[in-house]
Amino acid sequence: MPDTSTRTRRPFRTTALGAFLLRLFRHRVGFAAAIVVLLITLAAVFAPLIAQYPPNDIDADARLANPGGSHWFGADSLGRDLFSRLLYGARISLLVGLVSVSLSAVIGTLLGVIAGYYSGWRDNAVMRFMDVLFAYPAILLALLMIAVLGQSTSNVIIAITIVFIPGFARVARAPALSVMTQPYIEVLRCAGASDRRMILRHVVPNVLAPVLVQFTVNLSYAILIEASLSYLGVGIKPPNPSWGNIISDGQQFMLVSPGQVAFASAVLLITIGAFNLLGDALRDITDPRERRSS
Amino acid sequence: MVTLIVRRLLGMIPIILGVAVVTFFLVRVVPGDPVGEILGENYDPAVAADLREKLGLDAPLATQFWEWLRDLATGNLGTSIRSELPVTTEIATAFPYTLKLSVGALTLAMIFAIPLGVLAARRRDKPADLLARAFAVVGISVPTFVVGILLILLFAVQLQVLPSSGVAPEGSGIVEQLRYLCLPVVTLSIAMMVVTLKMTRSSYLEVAKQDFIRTALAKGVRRRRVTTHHALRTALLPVVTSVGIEIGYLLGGTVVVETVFSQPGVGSLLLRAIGQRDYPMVTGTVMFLALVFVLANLLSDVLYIVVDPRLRRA
Repeated sequence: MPDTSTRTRRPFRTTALGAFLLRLFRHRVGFAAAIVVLLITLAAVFAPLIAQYPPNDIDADARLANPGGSHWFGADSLGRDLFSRLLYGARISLLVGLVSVSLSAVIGTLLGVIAGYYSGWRDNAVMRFMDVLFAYPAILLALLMIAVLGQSTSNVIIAITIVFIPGFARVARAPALSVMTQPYIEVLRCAGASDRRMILRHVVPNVLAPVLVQFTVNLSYAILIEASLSYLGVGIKPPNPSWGNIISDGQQFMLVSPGQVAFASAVLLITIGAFNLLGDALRDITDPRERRSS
Repeated sequence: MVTLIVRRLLGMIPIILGVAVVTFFLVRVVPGDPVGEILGENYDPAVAADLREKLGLDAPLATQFWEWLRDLATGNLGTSIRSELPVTTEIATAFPYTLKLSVGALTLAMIFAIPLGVLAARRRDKPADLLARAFAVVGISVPTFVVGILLILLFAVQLQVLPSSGVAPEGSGIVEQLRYLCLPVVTLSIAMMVVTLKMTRSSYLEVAKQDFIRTALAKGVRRRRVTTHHALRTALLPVVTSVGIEIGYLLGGTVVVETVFSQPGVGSLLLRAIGQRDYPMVTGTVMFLALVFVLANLLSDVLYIVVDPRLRRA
C-alpha cells in the first residue's frame, strides 16, 4: 500500500469560469432559468431538424386546425403548421435579440469605458448624447428608427441596438470611473502603459460583470420590443414568422381557434421570463455583497 | 431647494435641444429619400419636386434645421402630408385619450403596488411575499399586448361585462366612460405596477433594517405607525424617482394599448403616420412624446426635492 501520510494534498482550485458556473448551479432559480434558455436556444438552432413542416408551407385542408394529429399545436388561418412557425419564430426572436444586444453591448461598453477612462470633455460629450437618447421612451425610439429606415429584419436590429446603447454606456462608465481612481492605474501610467493596453487589460475586465447582467436583462427586453414591433405590424415582415406577428394574426381568429394566440403567448412569456430570471440570478451571483452573505 | 429646482430646469434645456437635433437629423440624414418613400416606385419627378418643396426639403440642411427649430419654439410641429392639418391640432385632438389612459394607469399602479410592496416586505419569504414576487416575474415578462388580449377574452368575450375596444360615445356619463377605460387602463398599468411593487419592496426592506426604525419600535411606537409614518415615508423616496422613468414606459405602452383597444390617442396617430409615411406627423408625435417624458422626469426630480427633507433644506 502506498504511503500517503507524507504526501500533501493540492488544494482544490477552480477557474473563474468554473466558480461562476458553480455559483449559478447553486442558485436554483437561476439554474432552472438557464436550462430553459438553453432549451429554447437549442430548439431555435435545430428548428429545421425538429419542425415537421417548412414554416411558410400552406395546407388549405388544415386551416385553423385544432392541436393534435399531424399538427401538434394546430394550424393558422392559412393552414401553416403553428409548431413549425413558433420554432422558426424563436430563431428570429433570438437572432434579433442576440445580435442587437451584442451590438449595443459592444458599442455602449466602448463608449462608457472611453467616457470613464478619459473623463473631461469626452466624458461629457458621450454621456450628454446618451442622456438625449434616454429622453426617448424605448419603443418610441425604435418606432422612429423603423419609420426612417423602413420595415425589415436588419432595421429592427438597428433600431433595438440604438435603444440599448445608452444603458450599456451608463453601466460601463461607473466601474470604469472607479477603476481609474485605483493606485495601480497610476503605477501603470508611470510605467508607460499605453491607453489601449490600460483600457483592454485593466478597465474592460472590471466592467464585464455589470455588463453581463445588463446583457441578459436586455435580451428579454429586446425580445419583448421585437415582438411588440411585429405585433404592431412594423417589425418582422410576414410571411416570415415572429412570435409577435403570429399573435397578431391569431387575434383575428381567437374566438374560433384560440390555440394560436395561447401557444405563441405562452412561448413568449416563458422565454422572456427565463431571461429575466437568469438576469436576476446573474446579478445575485456577481454582486459581492450577495456573495458574502451567502 | 429653489436653487436645486432651477438647476434641474436649466439642465433640461440641453436635453430638449438634443432631442430636437436627433429627431430632425435622423429623418433628414439617414440614407434614402423621404419623398421617394412617400410616393413609392416610378413617381412623376414634377410631383416629387412639388412635394419636396412643400416639405421644405429643397432648402439647405442648415436652413431646414433652423426653420424647424424656430417653428418648434413657437409650438409649430409642421403640417401632416396626409390630412393637411397642423400636426399640433391632430396631437391636441388625440392627446386627451392618451392622457386619460396614462393617468388612469399611473393611479391604479400606485394604489395597488405600494401597499402590496409593503406587505411583501413585511411578510418577507412568507406566502404573501412569494405570491407578490411570482406576480412580479410574470408581470414583467408578459407583453402588454398579451395582457390586453387575455383581458378582452375574459371580460369582453366570456363574461361580457366590459366593452372590448373603442371609446365611450359622445355625451355618455362617467360610468360609461369608465367602463370603456377599464380594460386599457388595467392593461397599461400592469408593467408599472410590477416595477413599483419591486421597488417599494426592496426599498422598504432596506429602510426597515435601519437604526431609526429599531429605535422607534424600542420606544414603544406601534408597528402600524412605524410602517406608515417612519419606514414608508423614507422607502417611498426612490419610488418617486422611478415614477418619472416609468412614465416613459407608460408612454411607450400607450402605443401598444391604443392599438389593442382601438383608442384614438397619440400612439395610434404615430403608428398610422408610420404606415402612411407621413414624416412631419412622425417627427411631430415623437418629439411631443419625448418632451412629455422629459417634463415628467423633471416633475419627478422636483417632487423628490420637495419630499426629501435633506434636499428641501439644502
